[in-house]
Amino acid sequence: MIERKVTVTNETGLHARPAALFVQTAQRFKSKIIVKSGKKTTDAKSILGVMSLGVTRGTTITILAEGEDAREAIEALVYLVEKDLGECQE
Amino acid sequence: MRVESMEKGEKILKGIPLSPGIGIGTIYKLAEKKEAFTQIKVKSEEQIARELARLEKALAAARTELEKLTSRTRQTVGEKEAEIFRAHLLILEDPMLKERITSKIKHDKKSASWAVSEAVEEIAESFELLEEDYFRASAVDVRDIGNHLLAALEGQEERKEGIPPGSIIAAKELTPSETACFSSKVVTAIITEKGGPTGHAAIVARALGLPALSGIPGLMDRVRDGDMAIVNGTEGVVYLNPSQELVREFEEKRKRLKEQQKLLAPGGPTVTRDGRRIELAANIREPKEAEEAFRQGAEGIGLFRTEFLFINRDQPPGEEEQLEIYRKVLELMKGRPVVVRTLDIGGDKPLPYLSLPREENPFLGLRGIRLTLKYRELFKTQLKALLRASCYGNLKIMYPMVASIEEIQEARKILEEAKQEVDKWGPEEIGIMIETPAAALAADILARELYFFSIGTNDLTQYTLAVDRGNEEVTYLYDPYHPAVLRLIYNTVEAAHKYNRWVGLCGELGGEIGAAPLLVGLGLDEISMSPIFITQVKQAILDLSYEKARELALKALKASRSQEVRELLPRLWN
Repeated sequence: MIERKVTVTNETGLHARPAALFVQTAQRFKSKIIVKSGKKTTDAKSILGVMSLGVTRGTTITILAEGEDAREAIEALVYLVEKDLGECQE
Repeated sequence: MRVESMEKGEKILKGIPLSPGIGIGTIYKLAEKKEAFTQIKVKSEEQIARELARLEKALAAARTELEKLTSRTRQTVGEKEAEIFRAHLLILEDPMLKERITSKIKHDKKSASWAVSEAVEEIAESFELLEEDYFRASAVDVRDIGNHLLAALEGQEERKEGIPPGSIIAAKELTPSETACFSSKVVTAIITEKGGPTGHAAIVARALGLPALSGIPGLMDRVRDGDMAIVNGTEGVVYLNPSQELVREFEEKRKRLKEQQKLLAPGGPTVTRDGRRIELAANIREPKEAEEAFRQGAEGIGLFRTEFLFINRDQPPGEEEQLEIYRKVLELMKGRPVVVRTLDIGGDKPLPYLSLPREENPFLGLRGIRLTLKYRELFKTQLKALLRASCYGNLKIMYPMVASIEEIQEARKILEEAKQEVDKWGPEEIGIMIETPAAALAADILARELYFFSIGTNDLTQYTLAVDRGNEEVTYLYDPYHPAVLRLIYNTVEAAHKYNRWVGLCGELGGEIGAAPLLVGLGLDEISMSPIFITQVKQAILDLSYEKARELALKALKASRSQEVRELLPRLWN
């Protein structure tokens, strides 16, 4: 299991469109991926799950992945969150 | 706001403004969705299997419905609003949702509709417990999806059918799907009991330009079908059964607002009467002009001249310094396109840090792209700064004075080198100025290599008519309405469109109101001008018929002299 922490700096946190981008990215990978925020844990491939974490700007989340592409999955998701979920996207 | 003296039967309702504007019409109440299903318990394995199968079919049907809604919204409202429904699709396909529903069918032995309704409600309620406004607003999204599923399961009619024109929709709450389906031809305003300004329904209402307000408790008991009403979405007030006078007063206000909106809507679309869209952009020389451009309603920057960064100094500007400037403009324009022209300078403006030779003929000499291809490092530094800046907005890069395909290919090599030397960059679109007759005549060859053209009529006219505008002896010969120049513009447009590229115009001609019908008729996709001209040109284009403009342009192309061309143009202003 690989684990990384990352802080969400996007203005609306992990809501709607950023959450959708996050989930769509997670869904590309075969590994099981989990996101933790505070006491809550959820499947990173579930938009309802990610949205219901209620992650706001400034919150640090933990991403965990297990599986054959776990490393790539974590890297992709951390990169996405760090590049501000929209800074260098369309 | 003056409080009007109300007559008998008149009522004023106050709520939260969601979407600005004034709507006048008759109330049409959307009844609350009755849960038209019975809570059936399923007993046998067979029944459970059947309900699960029904669920699968309903999920597929709802998916199709949402996909249709997404593409329709993209066409009638906008891309951003269409994304709301793409997010809905993700929710619909969320394993968590399906698992919960399935579990209720299998283990709680509930019918599909019952299971869906409960699961949706549970999830919606958990969102409502979250603190942030926009998270709570997601509850409506979840319920919206629930509605699609239930409609698919029960074969229900959705609420939006059969609304008479001139209606003011009154409802307890509206989902984004329902709002997106309202036609502004039929619905004049929306009022609801619940629903906040950050919710998706409000976003869609604003994008549609439908006045809306909410936060009126007990609304459904306070209005009746057929009540005449005035909705002031800007201030959040509804006038029920208003007097004739009040109606007249608000009709006036509404007309005036519409006029203003047409002219001043920042970045609002410029469309001819028969639906042809032209983008109006601004030419700027430095970042602070971008603010003015934005205020004047520019939909983008069609030409950002970068020479100011390079002149009047001893050393060339560094990468960081340039990055700051480009980033500033990109951010000021808030995601609207910004076309940056790379250094366009020549022997007529000596730079101390480049040893430019004295030229007999600087305008036919080492300038524009030729100069930057020679001074590779200078060019690369600018390109690197531009690449890095592209992460902060919608950047397009344009090369000046291109005459041949080799120049474009050489520039591309340097751009690729620049990419190796930076960390990240956003999507970049490369285009060129069309200012040499060569480029205009060979536009079809060049179009394949690029994303866009922008026609620089000032230099194009000079090169085509072999006139130095600055030479008093011949300045009278400078004439952008010369049939030769028009034919080159036309050739460029046709070539670009053949390859599906967009063509703009950034010369002075673009700011001339009289030229608008001609430029529109020649098929230009974008016209960029000094910010002060935008409002007037926009008004002129709003009044045009593209069909007639096209006829006019084709006639102008057959003219034998500029006088004939000018006579074709209507006298729009003195």
